[in-house]
Amino acid sequence: MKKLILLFTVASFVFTGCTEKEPEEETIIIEDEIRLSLSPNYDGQPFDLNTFYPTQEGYSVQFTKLNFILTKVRNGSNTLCESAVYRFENNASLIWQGEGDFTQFSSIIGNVGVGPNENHLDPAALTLSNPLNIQNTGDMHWGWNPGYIFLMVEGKADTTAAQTGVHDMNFLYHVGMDPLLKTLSLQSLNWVKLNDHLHEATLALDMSKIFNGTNHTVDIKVERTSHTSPGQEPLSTKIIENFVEALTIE
Amino acid sequence: MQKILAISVVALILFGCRKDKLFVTEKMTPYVLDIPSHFPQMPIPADNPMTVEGVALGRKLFYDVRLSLDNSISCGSCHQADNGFSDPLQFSLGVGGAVGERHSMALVNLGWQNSFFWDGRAQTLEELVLEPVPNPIEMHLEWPDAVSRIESDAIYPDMFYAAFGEDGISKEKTAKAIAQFLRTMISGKSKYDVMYKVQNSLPLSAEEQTIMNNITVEEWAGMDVFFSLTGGDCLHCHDGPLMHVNLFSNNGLDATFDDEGRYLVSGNTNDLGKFKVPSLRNIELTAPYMHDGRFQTLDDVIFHYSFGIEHSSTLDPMIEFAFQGGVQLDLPARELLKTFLKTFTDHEFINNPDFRAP
Repeated sequence: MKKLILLFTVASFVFTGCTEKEPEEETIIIEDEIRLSLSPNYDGQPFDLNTFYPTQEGYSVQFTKLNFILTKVRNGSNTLCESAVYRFENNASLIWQGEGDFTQFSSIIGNVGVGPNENHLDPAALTLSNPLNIQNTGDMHWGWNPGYIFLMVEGKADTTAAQTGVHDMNFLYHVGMDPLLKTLSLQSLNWVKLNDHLHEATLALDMSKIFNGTNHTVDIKVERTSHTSPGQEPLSTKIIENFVEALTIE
Repeated sequence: MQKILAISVVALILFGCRKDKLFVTEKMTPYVLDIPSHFPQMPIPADNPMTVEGVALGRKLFYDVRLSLDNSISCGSCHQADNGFSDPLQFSLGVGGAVGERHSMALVNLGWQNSFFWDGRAQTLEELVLEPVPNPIEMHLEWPDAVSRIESDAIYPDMFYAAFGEDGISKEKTAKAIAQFLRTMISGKSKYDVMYKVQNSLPLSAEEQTIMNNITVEEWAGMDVFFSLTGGDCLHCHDGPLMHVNLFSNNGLDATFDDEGRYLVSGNTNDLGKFKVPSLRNIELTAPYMHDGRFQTLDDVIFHYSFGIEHSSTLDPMIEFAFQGGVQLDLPARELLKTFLKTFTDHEFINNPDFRAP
């Protein structure tokens, strides 16, 4: 009997003891991703926040901020991303990255800014993963009524005739409000394979065109600030239309 | 025979498949943060989930003077509740009377911030906590010594076990626990919060309705000055439900920089003289002001933005009226603005016993 109990005990250990189950073989599926990047320049020169650039008026400018929001970026019924917030900080190039099939996006159309249906929602009520959550947009949100700042361009300039080298004239363009939502349309995106599961398309942005577009020129000496407040809409319109024109396929 | 049977059963129970950590993890109690309805979700790091046990441990550690070399100061010494969890001294005093170099930042709503210290040298709350203990001008205790002291305590080992589900005490666990406690320090019940809700047509609770009824005409007028682009022009850096924006800025304090601020971390000359934009929550209580505590009163601060802006190469372009020295607020406007700034005081937060020494 004792032997029987001993046998039972040993058998119990064998069957109920700490047997790590062999992990089932899992098939790891890596989703294909696509990345939209930005490569800013200033009239063909590499762009950064430490360089002084000449304007057509003979001024010298230095940029301190470049932020913008893209929404509803799509090609027909295929959506590339619902929203993306770009900040040129530490020479960052990434606009957006996520799951997607690059073959579906030979062209894209989207908004620079946030459409009126979303522009006045509670920015704190969105999920944290949503780029438009106030935690992610930060200083790119004025408040519920005016909504998001679609485009922020800030910097310093020396506008003196003698070009003294002192850049103490600030310029600042904060563009937003529903009427200034603009459509961005880009054809023939050049998707580059970065690895087996990631393709990247890069947009170019010529910052000199912010001041010198086809239809609008901006003289920062006299047009140095807009918050898109009453009376400032024309300047904001010039800035954002020049910006859309300056965005191209690299 | 019965004995053998009993031994067998006990052996099965004791040596069968135990997953101690899982067992303890199940004993941990998730901590539910009291996040105001108009605030965004708080991002919580995946490797430091909030638990009741972790918060309790963090609170005890926060107020424990044994984390300083001579058992004289705790985190709470330089972040005092009555001063909005800041320090009334211009520069806090460390072990042996060592004098700090910057004013102690107020601890409030830290869970939504993504850089810490005036120069932003810490990216997470967990990183933040690791600094003051060994800092020679603060608590001046090397972490191994701090951990030894905690280990020799009668209570802490059990508290760490309860908080982390395993034996062992480390500086990383200490930091995690204090970070959990700091994340609970949420301020969102000030008059300003009610004003924010009213402005955005958000429903008010009965308690908030009572607060609403006590908001004065001057406070509403001060709010207009604060947000007006041609008034105080404060909104670029201080806005939203949190009344905080994650930015670094040179706000025109100096033409040259004794303290180079953010530049010391980034090495980028564009960051010379820039400092983290602080929260204005409880600003009435957190004097003195600025990174070096140079201003004793809110009047001094408002006067600076009105008339005292100094030019330099990195002056923030959002200081739009720098060309005329500031926003030029006259005395009545300055008084209204000050009145509004006091609406950021959250008495429930300041007096919350859960944030005071256990």
